[in-house]
Amino acid sequence: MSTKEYRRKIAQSIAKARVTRARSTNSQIDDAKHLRGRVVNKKVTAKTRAEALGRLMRVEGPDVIPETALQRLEDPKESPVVRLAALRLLQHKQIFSSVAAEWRPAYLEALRRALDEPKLRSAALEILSALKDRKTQGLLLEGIRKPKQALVPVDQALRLLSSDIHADVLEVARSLANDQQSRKNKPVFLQALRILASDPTSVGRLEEVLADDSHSIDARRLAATALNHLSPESLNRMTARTVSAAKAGRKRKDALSEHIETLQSIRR
Amino acid sequence: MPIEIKINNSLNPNARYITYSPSPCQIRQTPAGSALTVKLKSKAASAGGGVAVFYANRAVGVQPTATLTVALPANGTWVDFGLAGKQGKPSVDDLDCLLIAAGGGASLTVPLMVRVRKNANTLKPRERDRFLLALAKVNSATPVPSAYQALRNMHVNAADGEEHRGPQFLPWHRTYLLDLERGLQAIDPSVAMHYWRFDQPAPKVFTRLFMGETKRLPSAADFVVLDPGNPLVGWVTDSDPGILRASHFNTKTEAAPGLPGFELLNQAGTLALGPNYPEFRGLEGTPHGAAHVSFNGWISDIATAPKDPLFFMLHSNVDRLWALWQWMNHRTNPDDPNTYTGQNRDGRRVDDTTWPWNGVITPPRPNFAPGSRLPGSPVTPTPGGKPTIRNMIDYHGSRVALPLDWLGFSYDDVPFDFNP
Repeated sequence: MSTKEYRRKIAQSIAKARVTRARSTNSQIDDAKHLRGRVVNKKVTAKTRAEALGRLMRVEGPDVIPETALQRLEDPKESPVVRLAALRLLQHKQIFSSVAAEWRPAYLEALRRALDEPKLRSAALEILSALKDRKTQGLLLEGIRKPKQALVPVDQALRLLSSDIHADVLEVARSLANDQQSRKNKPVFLQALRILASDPTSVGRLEEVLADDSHSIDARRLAATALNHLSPESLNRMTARTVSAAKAGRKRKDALSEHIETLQSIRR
Repeated sequence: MPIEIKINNSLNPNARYITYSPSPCQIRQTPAGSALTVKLKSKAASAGGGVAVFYANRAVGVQPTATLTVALPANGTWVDFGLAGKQGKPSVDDLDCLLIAAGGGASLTVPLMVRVRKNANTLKPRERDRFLLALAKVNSATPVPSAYQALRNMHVNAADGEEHRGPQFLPWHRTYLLDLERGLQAIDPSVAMHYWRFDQPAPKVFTRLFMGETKRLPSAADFVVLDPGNPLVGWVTDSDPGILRASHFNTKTEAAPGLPGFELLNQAGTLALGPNYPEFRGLEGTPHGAAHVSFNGWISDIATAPKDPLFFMLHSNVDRLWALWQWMNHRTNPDDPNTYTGQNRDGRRVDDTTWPWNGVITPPRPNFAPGSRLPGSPVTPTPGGKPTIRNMIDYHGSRVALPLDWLGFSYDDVPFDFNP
């Protein structure tokens, strides 16, 4: 195709997209007042209301504080479908809103309230953890210490806490990585190891995990990656033993030795 | 009668990388008794290799030719010509494109590469693997912090105003991509900053061998699964191993959807935002933001997004859309407000330098500046270590009225044209 034809083809696709958009904006579908009414109209399905909220957010653009979505998210009587849509739409708008700083506190508060609703909890925790919300971190740590009060299982709590590792989190992770009972719970053990990757004092523990073939391959691979980051010389020392043991045991290269070879190829 | 050729005005073999924009080249014969006429042509070194085309001069409307006949003076004076990759015939491997000069019994063959940013879903396995290895090396444990970690440290909440929610969004991220690309090319010059076309299914991208097998989860995140031979197995950012990403869509069969009622705009819809910059930069919401929140995990939040290497492929596609819009609308003149409409705030005017490469740490800039100057390139002297927004606009160096100024990259589906 010549450049000229290519330009014409793209121009045609743009013209078509403009027609589609014009049809939509000329209709009542994209009128903000109409959309606000539709969002709160409980006679229509939650799915339809959620979609109307999305359209409203698009029509409002980057410069408007998303009051309707904030109200839907924080309202405990609202349908979880609409609240979840509001949560995701607000997460989206945080990326491009020119006034995001103005409504961020209200957004955080609405997310904290969403923790009470089991269908929203996981999504709200993801965002609050990424935002390093101290109140949420406190709840997650408390849940690990007192499982009856936990918002989520221990492995998920550790993963969420790993977005902002400080002394309390490290202490919990060290304890779980050394605890015989936790070792039997593979997801918990893996998440604890992941956190130890930020802890130079845990090199010895990571070496033990890498060397111990009673651990899962996933745990040993993770220990190798962590050592590669924290102490490459330690990984080199360990590698000679681990890879030669693997070679002696099996003719075929296993996932662990391949993983270690890959790590070493990156540093070459 | 030996012939010499400079690619990108350089005899340095590391400068033998061309794009779809005509690179400034020169040819001469060593001083001899008489003038010499040579014919320049190009062919792929092997099947599927790159092919180059020629430009006799720089003027609006000039089209490339498959061959070029050049008269070389007897006194050894250099003769200028332009050399570009042939649209649709980029290289796959390093030096897989041959430039051949022959005439009067003399000949010279110069191997080079037509290096362009490609749709990641179409990469050959060996292209993909070179890209991944370079990416992993940029983020290797030594030196500390890695060059990648420095890039990661730039894209944080405290620097939000430098990067987002304004007209500087597109040029700032173009600089950011160029910083990583030049870092990759310092490790392996055959690598480019390939893009994830988020408005199309990309089943080859979301695999264990590439960006990681990505679980579809409605409201939680999880770590992607990687093959033990994938260089990303060593991926660590902020001392945090792995890549946290789950999707809201089927990554094998679907494009990124965006959100119900606020869907991800496809390419045509994005280009239809408008022919002028104030409307077009609305792409920051969709498709850009919509692509980010088609996932759970690091990529869905500004403060953590660059921890996931998919971030740069997502932004390479945003930048490609801008490049395509620029080509369609001839938007390459930085002084035309329809090309770039600035705001009266530091970092947003067309001649402002860009943080953090300018090293400025006084208000209204953040009080820190990770990394250092923008890395240089053997291919082009531009934009220098402290780029401005202006430098990022005519990335192809298409304006004939100005001294040649280009950034050394092209996209596989964005052609080159001269502009006034």
